[in-house]
Formats: sequence, structure tokens, C-alpha cells
Amino acid sequence: MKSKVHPTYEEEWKEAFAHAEVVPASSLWTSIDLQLSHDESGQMKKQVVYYQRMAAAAVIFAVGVGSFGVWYTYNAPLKSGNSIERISKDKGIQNLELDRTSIQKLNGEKKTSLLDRASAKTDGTNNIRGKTTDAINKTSSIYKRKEYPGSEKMVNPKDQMGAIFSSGLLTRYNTQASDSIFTKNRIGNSKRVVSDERFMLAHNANWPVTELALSGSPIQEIAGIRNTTKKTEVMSESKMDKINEGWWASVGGSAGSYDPQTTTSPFASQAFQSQTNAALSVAPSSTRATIGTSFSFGVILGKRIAKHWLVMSGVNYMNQSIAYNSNIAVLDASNQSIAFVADLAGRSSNIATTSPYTINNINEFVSVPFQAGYLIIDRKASIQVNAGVSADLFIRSTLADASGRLSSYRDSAGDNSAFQTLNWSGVVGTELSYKVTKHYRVSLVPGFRYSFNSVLKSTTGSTLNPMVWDLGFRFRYIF
Amino acid sequence: MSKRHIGFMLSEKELIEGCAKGDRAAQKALYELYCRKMMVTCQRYAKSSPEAEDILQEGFMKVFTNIKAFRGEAQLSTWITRIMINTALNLQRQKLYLTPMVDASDLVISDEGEIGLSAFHVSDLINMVQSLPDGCRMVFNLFAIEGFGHKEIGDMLNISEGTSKSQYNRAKCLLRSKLELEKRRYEIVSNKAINNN
Repeated sequence: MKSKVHPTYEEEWKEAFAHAEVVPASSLWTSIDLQLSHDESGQMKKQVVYYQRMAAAAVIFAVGVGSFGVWYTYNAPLKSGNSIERISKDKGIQNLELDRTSIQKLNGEKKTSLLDRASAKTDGTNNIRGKTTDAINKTSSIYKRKEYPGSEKMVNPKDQMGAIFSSGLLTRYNTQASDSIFTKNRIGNSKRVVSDERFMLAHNANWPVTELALSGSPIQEIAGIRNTTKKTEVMSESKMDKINEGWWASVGGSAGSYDPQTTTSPFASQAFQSQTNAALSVAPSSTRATIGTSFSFGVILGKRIAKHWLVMSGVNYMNQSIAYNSNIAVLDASNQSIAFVADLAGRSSNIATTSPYTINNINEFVSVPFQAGYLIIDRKASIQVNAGVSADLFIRSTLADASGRLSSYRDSAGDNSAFQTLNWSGVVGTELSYKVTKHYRVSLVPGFRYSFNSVLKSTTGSTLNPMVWDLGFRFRYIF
Repeated sequence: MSKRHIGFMLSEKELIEGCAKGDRAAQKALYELYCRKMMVTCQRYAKSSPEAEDILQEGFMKVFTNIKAFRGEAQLSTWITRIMINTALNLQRQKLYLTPMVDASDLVISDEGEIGLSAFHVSDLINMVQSLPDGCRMVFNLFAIEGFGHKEIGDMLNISEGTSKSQYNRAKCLLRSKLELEKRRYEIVSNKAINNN
């Protein structure tokens, strides 16, 4: 590497600069310091943007899945009917054809008393009855083998429909249990009923012929509607689980980005400048990073109040931090320098300037959220959207010199504090949960929080409306 | 790696570890330890002192950013010097792209023997080097002071070995005339001082 063509000449030059030193401008380190601070805040911003994107992606995913769920839910009845037709054929009950026209005709006549309809003779004018009884003829062997208390009239398959109707079982079913079984089945579990390969013709006062499902023992099913045991069997296990998810408690935490949304009024800024410029040779300044970080953890108690609606509340510890680059310090009674920023202009008159340094500003709160949730998809993997308000009780704010050279500035809640003790925030979010066992659910909760009021008191001349995007994880215990 | 204690009672290892963690106090200590020496290096490669300070600032930013990659195979000062040189070359490459170096093979420089540089103040020597054309200055610094061969210099500056040699000869020629002028100025000043006394 080292070729020495002219050792004397080159060595002389080398020797001339070997021990030479030149002092660079004193402002050079300040420039490097500022650039380092800027780069550090940039790195932090990159991390925050990553979490923001994750939260946004989770929200988009939740909305997408939710939209599909809603679409699927409202399209389910039609699909169910088709499935029944298909399965009917597969199972060799070709003679039974779902005559939609007849069903619709019957639907159109739903104001007619069903008992009247039932008592009418099978004179061929009622298509649905005729076709259905034909089907029952084909499967009469099944019925004949069954014995049901109070249903002897059903022995003759030709009279079965009439018998069923006149027995009052369906009427009673309609008045007592329709909502609990068939209405729900129509919406949520019709596919499952079909997959059980049961055949059952039922009706509802509001929807005369609502369900046609395959069943090995139809009358047993219908008769069983009257007693609780059978009803329990008909209801799916998952539905029972949902009903059991009445109360729950969850523990969890979240982390994300924090944008303080601070503004300093021109009046306060000018007052601060004039107050400090008179005594200081260097212009005071404190530059805040654009984005900070936020984390919280706590417990939430929730209750399902309706099929899709939930309410929840709890208590959380919330920590919001952001970096400043400041050249301001306040001097206490013992002339000790304490970290300070211009956002708190007016809190101290004993200001001094220093070389730029980095401050970590941490604001701590206890948050009590009150939220309502709507379950978009209510299954083992569920999706719900939450919205509500949160009462944020200020605990303290700390300005800490990152290098540890200056003392920390602390502002605790109270009359003398620059911060409001009680603050209100709006909170919205999506909860993607998965039921791990009968009693436990885990969930991912991307959320957004925005403070309705300024956390800083108006006397400071500044406003602070924190905005937080975060991604949380919760572990729920279902009672 | 040296365990000697430097500035603020921190060893070189502690300084490196502190800088790697982003500790501002360690970064400042490292800067204060090497900034004066590195300023000379930057001035040799720059056209002016402000340009040298730009190189120094950018160089130290690279040092703090990449110090995690420093494995202690070379001395820390050597590693930092190399970063400063690379930073300067990157800056100069842009200039050299616009005004490429050409051969100056008609120049024949005889081996002059000792030139008595110790008689000159270092700031004057820096001024002389700074006054060289960009290409000559780069090649002169890399060959005479850093000790690279012409082939290596050719690879670094994307020029031929012959161009590097001719640029070096041109630099020597220009410096010789500047040194002679400076010697005369020194003599005049010293004669005036003697006469005044």
C-alpha cells in the first residue's frame, strides 16, 4: 500500500502535518449536536410511523372483515334456502321440492290464521301443503316408527300437516320460542341446521314458512320445542357460549405514537421572548420532536347488554413522552439549573440559557374510559368497534435532561400546576379477538384517542391536545 | 484496543461504547479529543476553512452513526481519519466529475532533496495545499501524506495511474514555486525586522 517514491520529500510533508492541530469553530459542536438530535427524533419518528402503519393496517383489516361479515349476515337466508334444496336432492328426497312460489304465496297470505289454514281440507288448492304432504308420504316410514305423547294424530302422514297445525304445537311454538330458535337459526345458524341433515318444516307468525331443514325425526324436533331440554339441544354450543359472555374483565396494554398538538399563543411567546431577551445574550429556544411515544396499561370490565352491544369501563395508567431540544433552563433558589421548555413560558421568571441539550418530557395520567362496543362479527374470532370518552386524571409532568446534567422539572396535579387535573378525550378503536378457551379471549386493539380539551391550563398561554394512535393487546377473562 | 484513559476519565473503549449507545456526553468527549487533529486533515483536502468545517461535521456524523461497526482492528484515530478522508473525497468527486483531471506529463520534476518545511508555519503550509487545483490537491494528499500508491489513488479517484502521477508532479511543481515565494516573503519580513531593530 505504501510506496515511497520520494521518501525525503513525502516524509517531510508528512512530518510537517503529523502533530499539527487546528481548533475548529466553537459553533461546530452545536451544529453536530443539533444534527444528532434531529437524526434521533427522525429515528423515533420512523419507529412511530411503523406502529402507526400497523394500527392503520389493523383498522383497515377489521373494517374489511367487518364489512364482509355484515354482507354475509344479510345474504345468509337466501343461501340457506339454496342449500336446503341442494341437500334435499342429495339425500334422495327428490319428491320434496321447495316450491318457492308456493312459499311466497303462503307468505303473502300470512295474515290468514294458520289454524284456519291447518283445518282446511287437503283439497289441492294449497300447493305447499300438497307438495309437502307428498314428501311426507315418501318418508312416512320414519314417522310411523316414532311415538310422541299427544301426537297420535300424526300417524297418518296424509293428515300430518293438519294434525300438526291443529295440535297447536306450532302455534305454541310461534308464541313462545320462535325468537329463541328459529329466528336466530334463520339468521345465524341455518347452515348448521342443514348440515345436521334434519328435516323440519316450521313456520312463524311473521314469516309463515321460514325454514325447511332436513331432519331424521321432524316431529320429535317440533314436539321438543316445548321443553327446555330439547331447546337446549337445538341451540348451538357457540350460541350458548355467547350468552355466557355476559360479564368479562380484561388486562392489557398498548403502545403507539403521541402527537402533543401544542400551540403557543403569539402573546405568550412574545412575552417570553421579551422577558428572557432582556437578560440573555442567546435567544432562548426549545424545539419539540414532531412525534413522541405513548403507552398505557390497565384493566377493563365489560358487559354485553344486547345481542351485539357491549359497555365497558376500567382504569388505565397512561404515559406520553416526547423529546425536546432546548437551550433554556430555570434556576432554583440555590441557583441550580433545572431543565425547562418554552411551552411552559410564564411558569418561571428565573430563566437562563445553556448549550443545547435534549429533554425527555413525560406526562402521566390515570385514564378512566367509558366505551360502548358493537360486535360486527360475534364468533370464535370476533370483531367489534368501540367508541366512547375517557376521563384522564393528570398525575404529573416531568422534564428530564437526557444527559443528566440538569435537574428535572416536575409539575404535579393541583392548583399550582400548569396542567388541568381532569381532561376528557374521545376514544375509538377496533377489537379483533379470538376465543382461546371457554373463559379466555385474547384481542388486538388498534385505537385512536384525541383530547377534547387542552391539557394545559389557559394561564400558560399554550394549548396541548394530545392525539394518540396505538395498538393494544388484551387478555380477557369471561365470567 | 487501547485502554488508556482519555477526556473525562473515560477510556477509549468506554467512549466508543457510550457513542454507540448515543450518549451525548461520550460523543462530545470523542469530538473534543479528535476535532483539532481532524480539522487539519479536513483543511488539507478542502479549498477553504468553511469547507473543511463542513467535511468535519459530516465526518463526525458518520463516525457517530457507524461507530457500532468499529471493531477495533485499527486505532480509533486511524479509523476516524479514514472516514474524514472518504468524506472529503466524496465531496471532491463531485467537483472532479465536472472538471476531470488530465495528464500533465510534460512536467519533469527533479528530486530536490530536503526542502526545509520545518521553517514554515503549519497554517501557511495548509494555505499552500489549499491553493492547489482540486485534482492536484487530492493526489498530493493521498500520495505524499497518506502514503497511498498511484494505482490505489487511481482506483479511488477513478483516474488512471498515469494521471495520478502527472497530477502529483504538477502539485509538486506548484508547491515548489509557492514554497520559494513563501521563503522570499519570510526573508523579506525577517530582514525588515532586523533593519527595524
